[in-house]
Amino acid sequence: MNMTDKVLEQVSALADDELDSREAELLLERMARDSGLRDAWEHYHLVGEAMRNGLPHTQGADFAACVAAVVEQDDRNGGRRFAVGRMLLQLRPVAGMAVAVSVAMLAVFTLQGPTGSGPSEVVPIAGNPPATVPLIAPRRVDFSGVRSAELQDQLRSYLLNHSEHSGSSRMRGGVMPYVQIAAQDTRPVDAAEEDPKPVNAEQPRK
Amino acid sequence: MNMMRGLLILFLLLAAMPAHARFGENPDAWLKQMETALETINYRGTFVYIHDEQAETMRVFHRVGPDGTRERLISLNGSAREVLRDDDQVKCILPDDKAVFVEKRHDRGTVARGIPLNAARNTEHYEFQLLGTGRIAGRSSRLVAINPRDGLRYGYRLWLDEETGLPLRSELVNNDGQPIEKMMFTEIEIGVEIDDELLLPSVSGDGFKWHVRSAEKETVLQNTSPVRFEALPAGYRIVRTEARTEGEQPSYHLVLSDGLASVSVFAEPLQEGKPALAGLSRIGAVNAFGVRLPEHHVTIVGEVPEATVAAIAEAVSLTGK
Repeated sequence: MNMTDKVLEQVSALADDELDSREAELLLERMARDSGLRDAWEHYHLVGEAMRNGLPHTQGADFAACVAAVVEQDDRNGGRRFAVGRMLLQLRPVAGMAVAVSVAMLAVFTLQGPTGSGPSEVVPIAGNPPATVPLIAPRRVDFSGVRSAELQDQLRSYLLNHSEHSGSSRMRGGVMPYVQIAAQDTRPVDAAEEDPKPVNAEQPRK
Repeated sequence: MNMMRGLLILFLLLAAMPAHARFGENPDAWLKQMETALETINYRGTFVYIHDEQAETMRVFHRVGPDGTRERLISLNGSAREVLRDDDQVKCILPDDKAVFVEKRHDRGTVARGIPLNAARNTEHYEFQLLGTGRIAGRSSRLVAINPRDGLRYGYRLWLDEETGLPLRSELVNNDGQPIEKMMFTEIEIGVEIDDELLLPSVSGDGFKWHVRSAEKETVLQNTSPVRFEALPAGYRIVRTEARTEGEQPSYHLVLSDGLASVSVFAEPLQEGKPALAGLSRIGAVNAFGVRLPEHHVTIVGEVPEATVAAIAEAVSLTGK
């Protein structure tokens, strides 16, 4: 794993509330200086939003820009470099939610919060109430109801072969269903196993 | 000479004209432009793919050049699963499974373009609409809706880039108009240079289990396969037949299409002890249905409703075998 991957993994871990307070502070300091990491955070947030509500019809709030605005504001207010991180960590027990929260909420809280910066400086942000992203170890997405690993591989091979002839894959960005082949299952195990079981068709039909 | 100059000027004017001006209110023209864009334009970006209440973020690099079309997809969540495509093969690397799947093509350049979309001929089974405009990944887009007229095929909503026709967002929708799969770019760069190294896999696959399907043993047949259908779902017809010889008996792959949706039918000789799909299964928006015949096992795979794969399974047989 290279350095970039490690930092991105930390961003993901932060979104999943898996970093301790010191690691979170250091990462947030780094995010404050690195637009790429803020973009990564935005993507994780978008994913969480999509999981909860489906994709928004418009791009909605630019969370990365919000973080940048907060950081800039922090600096102007005397270098409260870790304010976002502290607020993040303070919010956790108070709100009883994971750190996979809306950065928008953080931005508002930081600027209106303990330092009393005043509402006039609030960055205008839209956003839904924060919610927790489930902490599920991803698994490969499999064909439903198929227990045999050998059969999974066979079906995956069929799908790959089919994809090469699929006109509809181009209707969906030219990349489907390759994405399905590479996708991972992040649902809880119970939900993932609720898929319909194959009907019994072992007897020859004709 | 004047005529040549006139044609050149006309070409340059057309090329300089944005897609929305060139294609106006004709959804078929927009779909053709989408196909052209996918075959002629470089792009790279990040998109979110949503299915079954799950979301996957992926990075894509797409390059068209003298060495053909090359593409690389990388998952940004979890392990770095990758899909690499060029005109010769498609390769999927799944690090978690320590597995690599390779599908080699035997008719370079033809299959790469897939089954041609033919929207104009599909008005019996689909309704085409050009709806409003939208803004996706910071770009203006035009919404094309393709609504199925029955329950045997899915519909599509496509947000096409107004400037180039590239699909920036797409939804696969069921007969009730409910999305069952979504894809949306969150950022995209169009018409950019893409270096060779961005199209190389990040892992070699050494020590992985390789599933390679070579093209050498495949033959394209002209309607000579023993695979028969008592009746096909309305609008579908056979558009391609391949035979593959590995053991004593050949296996067959038929592609059925209604012009937009496609379904593959794989017929393999029965093999003692080899597991085979019995009945219905699915992955994402893809449904699969397996049925055992006296000497073959048939598996039907496609991005179509359950009713369609089930109806094809009910109708299939092999003659003279």
